[in-house]
Amino acid sequence: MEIKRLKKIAYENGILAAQNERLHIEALAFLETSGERFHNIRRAKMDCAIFDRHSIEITAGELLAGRFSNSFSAPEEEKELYHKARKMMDASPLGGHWSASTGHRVLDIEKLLTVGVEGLLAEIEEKRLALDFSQPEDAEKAVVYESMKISLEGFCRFARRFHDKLEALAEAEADGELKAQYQAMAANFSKAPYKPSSSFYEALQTSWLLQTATCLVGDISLAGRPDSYLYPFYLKDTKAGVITKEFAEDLVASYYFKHNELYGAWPASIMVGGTGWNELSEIMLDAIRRTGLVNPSVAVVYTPDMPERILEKCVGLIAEGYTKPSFFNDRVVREGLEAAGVSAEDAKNYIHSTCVEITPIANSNIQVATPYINPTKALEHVLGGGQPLFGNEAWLERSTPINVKTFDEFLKSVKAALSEIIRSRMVVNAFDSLARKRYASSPLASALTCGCIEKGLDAGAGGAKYNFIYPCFPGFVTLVDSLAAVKKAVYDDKVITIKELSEICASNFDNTERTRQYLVNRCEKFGNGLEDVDAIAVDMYDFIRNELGRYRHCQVTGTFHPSYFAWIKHGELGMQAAATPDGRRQGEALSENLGASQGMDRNTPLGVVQSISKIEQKYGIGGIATNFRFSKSFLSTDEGKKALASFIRHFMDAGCFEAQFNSVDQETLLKAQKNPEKYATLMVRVAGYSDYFTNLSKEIQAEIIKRTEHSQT
Amino acid sequence: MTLVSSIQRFSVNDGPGVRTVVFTKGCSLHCYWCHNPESIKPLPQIQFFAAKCISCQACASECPIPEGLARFNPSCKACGKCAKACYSGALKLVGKSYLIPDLVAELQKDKGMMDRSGGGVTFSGGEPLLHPQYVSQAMSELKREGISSCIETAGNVPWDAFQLVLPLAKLFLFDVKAAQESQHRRGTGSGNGLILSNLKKLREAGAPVVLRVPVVPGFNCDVDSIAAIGKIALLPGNKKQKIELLPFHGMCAGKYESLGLEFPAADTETPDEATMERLRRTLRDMGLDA
Repeated sequence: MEIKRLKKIAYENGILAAQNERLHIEALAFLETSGERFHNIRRAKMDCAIFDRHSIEITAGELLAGRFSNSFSAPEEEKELYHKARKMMDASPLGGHWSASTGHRVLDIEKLLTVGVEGLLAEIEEKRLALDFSQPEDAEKAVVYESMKISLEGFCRFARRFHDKLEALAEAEADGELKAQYQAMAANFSKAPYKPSSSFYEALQTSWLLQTATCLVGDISLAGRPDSYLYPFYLKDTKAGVITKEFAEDLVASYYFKHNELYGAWPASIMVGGTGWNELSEIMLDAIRRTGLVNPSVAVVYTPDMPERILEKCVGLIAEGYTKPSFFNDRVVREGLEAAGVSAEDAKNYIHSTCVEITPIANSNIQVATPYINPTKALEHVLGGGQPLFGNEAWLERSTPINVKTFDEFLKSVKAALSEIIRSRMVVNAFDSLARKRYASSPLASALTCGCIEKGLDAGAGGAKYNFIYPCFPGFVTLVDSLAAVKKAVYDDKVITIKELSEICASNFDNTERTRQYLVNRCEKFGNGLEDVDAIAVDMYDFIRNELGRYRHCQVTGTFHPSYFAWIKHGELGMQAAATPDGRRQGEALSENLGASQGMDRNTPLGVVQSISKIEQKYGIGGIATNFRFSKSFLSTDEGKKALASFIRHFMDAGCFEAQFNSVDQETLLKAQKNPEKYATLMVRVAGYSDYFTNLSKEIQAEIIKRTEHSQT
Repeated sequence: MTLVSSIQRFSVNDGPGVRTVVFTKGCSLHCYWCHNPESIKPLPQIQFFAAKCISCQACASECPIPEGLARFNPSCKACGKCAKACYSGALKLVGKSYLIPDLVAELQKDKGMMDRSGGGVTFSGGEPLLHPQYVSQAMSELKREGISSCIETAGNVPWDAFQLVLPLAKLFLFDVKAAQESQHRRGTGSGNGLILSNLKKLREAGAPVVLRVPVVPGFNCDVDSIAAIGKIALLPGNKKQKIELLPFHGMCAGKYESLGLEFPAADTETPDEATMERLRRTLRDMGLDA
């Protein structure tokens, strides 16, 4: 009954995009706190100014509170001051939270629910009292503890404001049902978050308030695994008859709608399942369909004992055209985390922080996709004899040796160049790390990040238990395909010299379509289970991992691990990259994820698994994404759905990291008709017969497009 | 020598689970609606996909026939030199021979998927049972590797061929195109005597069989034709024979074009879902699992 009403509220509430009020309060607070000697305390006070002054709202009928005002006009008399303050703040290194993995972390929500702010404050106080100032860093620790205390108290006042507002609304409300609802919502704030939460509704509200508060101050944190930390409350309340399953479903729907309101297009991740599938996990899966919006980005933790019924449910969602859930291979991710030094216990509890970047929950401060590195630039550098073939940007700070007599030498030269590109990016990272330590802090987030209280260190300064950095390599497969093409065309078949290849790449295949076609069609492409090119992929993957292994930042746990996904960067980086020897033209997107380059998976999804399973994917905790496309018509049949379910299990058995699925709609088919090369592998199936879409005659393509249109209505 | 026209992974319509289908070349029927025209002839053939051609003429310069560019020309021996020279992938030589260990190694790559889905390998064609020695040997190698095999057959082969694969096949997907001898001859160029006698023997031998009927308007897309096939399909006792009706469609037109062949069924329409359902109901009413 509720879902329609909740959906209506969500649509009317829209997205909390406007930040004017926050920026205003923050800038004025920046001035007010300019006498603070320590940046941590200054930041805590600025955060508190936002908690205390930012206008808040409640929309009649919503089940979770946590809305702040979307519209703001600054008082006339403050405008000039604000502009001055903002300028000063923007020019100051003390400005923001860029400290940490803003947007990618999950705080210790479970701890907040179990011990409350009260418990956190007690722990901090105990630590503070234990300082005897015999050590030089004791004063620094005391400052950090003070900043945490200030922030936590501010957070409680923020909650109190919602409580008071709800009570006032209840008081003034004539409608009995609405009045009761306001009262129930106010009750959620009567003791929590200061005290531990005791009911499901209260716990959900408390965790949501934390997400709201961190987003409001611009230090975004995510939900993580609510089916795990909320389940004890759910179980207790449903058993005792305090709530019905239906009400819990509505609360979860509200929670999903709230995610859309708060995060907008930012993929706010939730992970469900794993070893503890429970009723709440299923409610959270079903809520994908019930709410039908982009957020949250729901992923499933796959373990071999995942119940068939739930897998079928997931497949059903994909068949209906949802791009969620995605699937993470629990075994591989955990092995990877453990290999990176995460304890076996901590490795059980992680999240895909937005895309596929693996972040341990409650105890980490991880820089994801930092930075994006285009590895094809190393190849370009070697082909260009030390100069890029396109653009002026110098990707290498120091020159590296170039020898191209044999393929082995060529490969060695590319590796040397890539090593130097990585080093130059690490220099940037090293200074960022240093700046974070000196100037930035996240007092509220640090109080809820395991390790920070213990060490008396802000998360930005390396206080968290785990502090990885994940450089990301979009275009990795473009590099691999290109190396395979160089090997075959130049060194094995000798159809072209390295100089000629360099020239045609520099000229963007001007008047050399025939050679380009050769490179596209006659040279092996990764993602098809082919030996030569797959071996190159394994070699380059191991090389990159080992290169990153040489670097450290902040703490011993500050190690570097690669990511293989692209978000939207493969397009942007493709614009800056010359034409590549795999036949990709200048300006075209680089390869996106770990799989075949666009349109090059000529051997079905099984060929992709054959290739990528040769790679030790556990070392890709920075995140590995693999996309698959199935046509809507295929997934509309029972056989198709069963096949997809088996495929997911097979993918996981083979040791692959993550799989995400699209069911292909009419729009894609139209694109494929226009640009067949990029969709060479798009398969369509109709009753027993299947073929590559692009092999079909124009008339038949039109017929299939028509049919797709039909099946969508 | 047995030639394979293609190996197709991830097939869900050719036996239980997800299967890899091996299409062999050569067929003893010549159905005018054939969906796999590249597998009718037992010899290698050149396929040309015009949309991919960049008109670079690399093929013409390699062609051993004096006038050049002999594809689809009676003098073309499908030597494959043009396809080898082709840069864009517009030309393909269809028909590849595999040594059995190589074929098995290729098929084994997806064993994980076969196991998870309860699938395996299906030999289809063309007519796989025109190569009974090769196919049965491959099947027994696959069996040793724990991979099951199905046979998709039109049935128009000597019984001896069936006998070779009988102990190895998990399932026979057996085509029946028409019940009437004359009708069958009109559509396929051959009578159905051998086919029906093989079907009978296969059933007597207790082999698991699923019947398949291509439903082709203008040939057998009517209640009478399908009911006549249903009669043949009926099993004694209470056992329900599974029978699948597969609607004709013109999606293979591009393949005929690529082979330089006329598509005799080019003007045939795909039967609509209502018609298909009516025909299926006819069979169900007779007591069949359709």
